[in-house]
Amino acid sequence: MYESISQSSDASLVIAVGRHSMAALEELFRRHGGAVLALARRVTRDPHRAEEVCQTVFTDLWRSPERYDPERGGLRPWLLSLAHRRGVDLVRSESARRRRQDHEAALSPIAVDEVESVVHTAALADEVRRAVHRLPAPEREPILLAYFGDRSYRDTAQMLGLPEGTVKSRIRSGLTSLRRALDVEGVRP
Amino acid sequence: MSNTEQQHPFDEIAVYALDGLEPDEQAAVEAHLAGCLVCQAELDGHLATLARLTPDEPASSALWARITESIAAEGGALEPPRLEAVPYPGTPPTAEPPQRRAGRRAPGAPGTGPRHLARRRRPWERIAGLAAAAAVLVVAALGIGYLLGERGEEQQPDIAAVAQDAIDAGDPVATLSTPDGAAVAQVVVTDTGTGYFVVDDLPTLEEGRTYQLWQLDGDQPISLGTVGDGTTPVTSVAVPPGTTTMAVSAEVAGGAVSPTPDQIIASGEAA
Repeated sequence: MYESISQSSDASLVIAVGRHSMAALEELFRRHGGAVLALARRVTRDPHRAEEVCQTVFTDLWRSPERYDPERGGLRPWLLSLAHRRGVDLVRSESARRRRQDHEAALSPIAVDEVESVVHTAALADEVRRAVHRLPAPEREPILLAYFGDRSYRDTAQMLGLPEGTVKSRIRSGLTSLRRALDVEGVRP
Repeated sequence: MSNTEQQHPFDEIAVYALDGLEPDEQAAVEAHLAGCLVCQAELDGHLATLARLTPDEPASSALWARITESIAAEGGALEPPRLEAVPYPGTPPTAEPPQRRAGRRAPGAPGTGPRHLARRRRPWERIAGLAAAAAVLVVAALGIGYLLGERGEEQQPDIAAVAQDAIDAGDPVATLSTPDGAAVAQVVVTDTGTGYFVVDDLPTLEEGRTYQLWQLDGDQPISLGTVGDGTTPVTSVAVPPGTTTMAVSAEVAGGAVSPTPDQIIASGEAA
C-alpha cells in the first residue's frame, strides 16, 4: 500500500511532479534520462546538443506534467517522442546540409556492405545484433541504411534499386519485425 | 492501400522515426502528428523500438544539476514537498502557488491535459494556495521574513510560541507514538490549514534523510511535508483542518511519494 519513490510507478511520479516534487522528477531522470540522452545523441550526433535536448525534455516535464497521459502509453515512449521532436528541431538545417553533402557517397554500391560492417563493429549488445539479423534481407537493408547508415529513404531507394514507396513500407514493416525480434531476444522495452 | 493508411501516413511515420524523410516531407508529417493521436502513438512505438537498439547513455549528475538550475532560472521554485499533496474537500478556490504560475495554464483552461492530473492537481493547488496564504499571515503576525521550519534557529522560539498559543486555545493535538507506546512528537492541527510538528523525542537522522509527516485519513497516505532530521524543535506544516490520523516516517532527503513501510516511526490521532 505504501511505496517509496524508487518503487513508485512512472504515472505516480508524474503526478508527484505535478505537486512540485523535485525528488520525483529526479527519479524519473534516473530511470529514463539515459534513454532520452541516447536518442537525442542519435538524432543530434553531438553529445553537447544531446544534453541540451535531454535538459529541455525534463524541464518540459516539470513545467507541464499534465501533457503526459498514461492512458495513451508509457512514459518512456512519450519522453522519447519529446526528445526526438526537440532533437529534430535542433538539427533540422544541419541535417539537410549533411545529407546533401553525403548524397554522392550514399549512392556508392558498397554502402550496404559498409553499413553491415557498422552493425558488426558497433557497440551493440549481442542480443540486439542477433535481433537485427533476424530480419529478412528485404526489411533489414532499408533499416540498416536509414538507421545505421543515416541515409534518407530516397537515397536508400536509389541504392537498392527499389521504388521509394516500397522502401518506405519496408521500413515500417521492418520496424514491426524488429520489435518482435527484440522481444524474442529478450531485449528489454 | 487501405482507407486507414490513406488517412494516416504510417509509412512516412516510420521513416520519420529514422530521420529519413526529406525536409518538406518531414514538415508535412510533423503537421499531421500535431493533430493525430493515432500517428503519435505509432511514432512512439517506433521510437521505443529504436531505443532498444542502443544502450542508454550515462545521464550524469552534472546534467541533472543543469536541469535543476534551468528550472530555478525560469522561476520554477525547487520546493521541497513541504506543501505537496494536501488535497481535502471544501476548500474555497485560491490562487496557485505563485512560484509555479509562470509557464502553467490556468486550471480549467482549454487543453489542460489528461483527466488524471486535472482531477488531482486542482485540490492540491487550492490547499497549497491556502497553506501559502496561511503561512503569509503567520509570517506577518510574527514579523519575520519567512517561515521555513527546517531553517533558521532564531525563528524557532516564535514558531514554538505560536504552536503553544494554538494548543492553549484548544486546537486539536495528535500525539505520535511508536508501536511500543513511546510518544515522540506532536502535531497541532489548527483551523487555518497551518499545523505545527513538535519534536519530543525523535532520534536525529543521519545526513541525507528526513522525517516526513503523513495524513492517513483517506484511502491513501497524503504527504503533509518533510519536517527535518529531528533536530528542529517545531516545524510549521500544511495540515488540512479536520485532519485526525497522522504518521511520521523517515525518508531520503526530499521526501517520498508514499511512506516507506518499514520506516514509519510513529502515528497517532488528533484529539
